[in-house]
Amino acid sequence: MSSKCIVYGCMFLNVKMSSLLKRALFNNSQSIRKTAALFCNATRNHWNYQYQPGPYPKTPEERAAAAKKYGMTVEEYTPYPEDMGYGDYPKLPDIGEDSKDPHYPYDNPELKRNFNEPLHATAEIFGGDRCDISIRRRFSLLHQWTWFLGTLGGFALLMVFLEDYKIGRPVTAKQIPGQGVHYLFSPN
Amino acid sequence: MSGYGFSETDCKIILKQIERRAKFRQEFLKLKSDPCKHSQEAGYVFDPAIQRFLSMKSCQVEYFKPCFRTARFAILTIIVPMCTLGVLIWNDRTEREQKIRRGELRYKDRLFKLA
Repeated sequence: MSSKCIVYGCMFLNVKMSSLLKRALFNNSQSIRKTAALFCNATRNHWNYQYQPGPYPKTPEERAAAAKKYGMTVEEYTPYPEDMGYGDYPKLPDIGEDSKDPHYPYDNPELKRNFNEPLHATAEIFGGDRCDISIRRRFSLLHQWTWFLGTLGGFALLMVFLEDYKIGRPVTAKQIPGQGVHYLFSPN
Repeated sequence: MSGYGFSETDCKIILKQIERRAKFRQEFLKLKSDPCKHSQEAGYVFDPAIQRFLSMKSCQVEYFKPCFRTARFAILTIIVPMCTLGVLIWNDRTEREQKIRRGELRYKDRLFKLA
């Protein structure tokens, strides 16, 4: 659908779409997105092609080469599953920065890591001030959820069951002279 | 050194890591204390691992392949909540409107009328 928009846009602007470009755009459904991504990278971050992760390693030789590229041993190196979209970037153990030893003399003490040590693929969420999956909790998750749901649930149940026992300002029904309503709104 | 509770591969990995650590520590100290570096290029020690992480993050769009997992995630977090919410709110509001027009909902029982 986006390829159609581009075609109509070009026609509107009286730009001739060469047959080569048309073939490139329409042949592969992913090519528009990839072309756009390449253009965005090429103008601003033209060095990414050197440091980008390569394609997912399928043969043992590719795995050895990828392990060498990231500075890990072959036994240590495991890539993410192919359909997750990380290429050959290694899957490192999920250790948050908060759990790391604070007294070790790191090369890069702000990130608690050493020079040329591969960063976790989701390192931005494992930062020292952010989420830490590997933390040793003071109270287990079950304990926390029980107390949380118990308190809120307790209050909710109180509200539900005591709904009909509410009291307001005690008043009696209105006292009207005679037997019931003695006036009419319409002229008849 | 197959003792200490670690398996053979683990021992091998750990020894290799210690080797690598020592090598990169020496390289880092050399680069950091090099007085010429501070006026060349960026002025700080270039860390290839950080650059690889950044390039991976910025080029992730090229590696995306639509599959069942990603489609399921998109449908469950975007389409299903929007549609359910829309249907529920629509039904609730039309029913309330019909009740008001038929006279079943008294004015004093209408909620949020002063909002």
